[in-house]
Amino acid sequence: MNKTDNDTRLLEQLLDRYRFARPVPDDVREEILSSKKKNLVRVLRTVGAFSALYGVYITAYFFLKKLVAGISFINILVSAVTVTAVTYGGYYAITQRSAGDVRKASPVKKEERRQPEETQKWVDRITLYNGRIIEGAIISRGDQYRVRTASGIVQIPRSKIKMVQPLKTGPEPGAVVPVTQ
Amino acid sequence: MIQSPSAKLFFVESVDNSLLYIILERRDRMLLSKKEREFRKSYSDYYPLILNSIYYRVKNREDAEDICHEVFVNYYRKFDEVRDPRSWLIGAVKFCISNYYRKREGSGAASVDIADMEDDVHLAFENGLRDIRIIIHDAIEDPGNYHDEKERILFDLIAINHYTYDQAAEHLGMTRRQAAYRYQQVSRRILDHLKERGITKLEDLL
Repeated sequence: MNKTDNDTRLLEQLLDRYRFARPVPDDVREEILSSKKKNLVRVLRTVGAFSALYGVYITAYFFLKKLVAGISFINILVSAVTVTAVTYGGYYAITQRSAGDVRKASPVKKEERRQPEETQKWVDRITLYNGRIIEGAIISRGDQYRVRTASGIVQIPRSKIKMVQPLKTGPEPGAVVPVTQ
Repeated sequence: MIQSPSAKLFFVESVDNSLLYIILERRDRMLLSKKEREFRKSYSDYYPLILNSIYYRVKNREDAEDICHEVFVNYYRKFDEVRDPRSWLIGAVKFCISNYYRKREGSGAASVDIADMEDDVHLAFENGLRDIRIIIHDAIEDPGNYHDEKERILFDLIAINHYTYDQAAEHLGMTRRQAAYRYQQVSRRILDHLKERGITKLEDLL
């Protein structure tokens, strides 16, 4: 033991001198500490209070107690901040992903940046449920609509699309085509 | 539909009794789990002290574990009646050790001298210093010197049972630094207590 306090050392000597101390060998001390869980299970089995669930609980309890014992307050604080940051970051990413109606499918290539009117004969106006309007040429349909816009190709989940309205060309110009869910 | 008033009353009473039974059963279940929870905590706190104390007396690991097991089984069964776990467990240790060896003596097994177990400070006499021993004992036992039971266990582990700071800290779920700090705070309080009782220079007593 590394006890620097002189008075504390004197007190310990006093306790030894007046036979208050009850020391046991080092290896026995280690065994006493390590046999705690095993003997608790034995006691609970004897009194009939042991169950598999309680066994799991006891294991978790002693594991956590041992884990916390080796961690200082600073470590706990740093861990807490890290966990909070990661959790918040994950939450933010998920909410942004679900709130965002439009996701980039791939890096926009140069040729894809051309105006839709230049390359396509038709242009559609896509109205989303959140009120946003996107104009471009629908390249493919399905669960994800791929639309070539002025800023590149974007993917739009079909569930977000309220209606598609052809603007320039199409079977019936100006006709409103509702999107079936 | 229940028509007659007596049948209605019986029905209401039956429902009431069923509800009461469910409530009581749930309460018992909750009490049981609470008891188990508190027993586990109490066991976890006192186990090293008790086993250490038994081992110190019987000097045999297997015997010590058997006696410790008996102590805690009795403790579980009497748990609801126990007001002061520390005193109860210390008393149970003495009883269980003598009981254990009395049983084994009957079967011709080796035994310990039960008289050696006596550590009552009021009976112990060593070099005419009984009074000082009593003063020290009072200082150690004074609850005012400990902020909580954890501090008391910490002091017992380190000062009485010679556990290291690391071992005591691991057992009590604190860091080594916390254990060292709290142990020294308790030691200072006990020393102040001794000073109040006229023991100012510890060196003179060594």
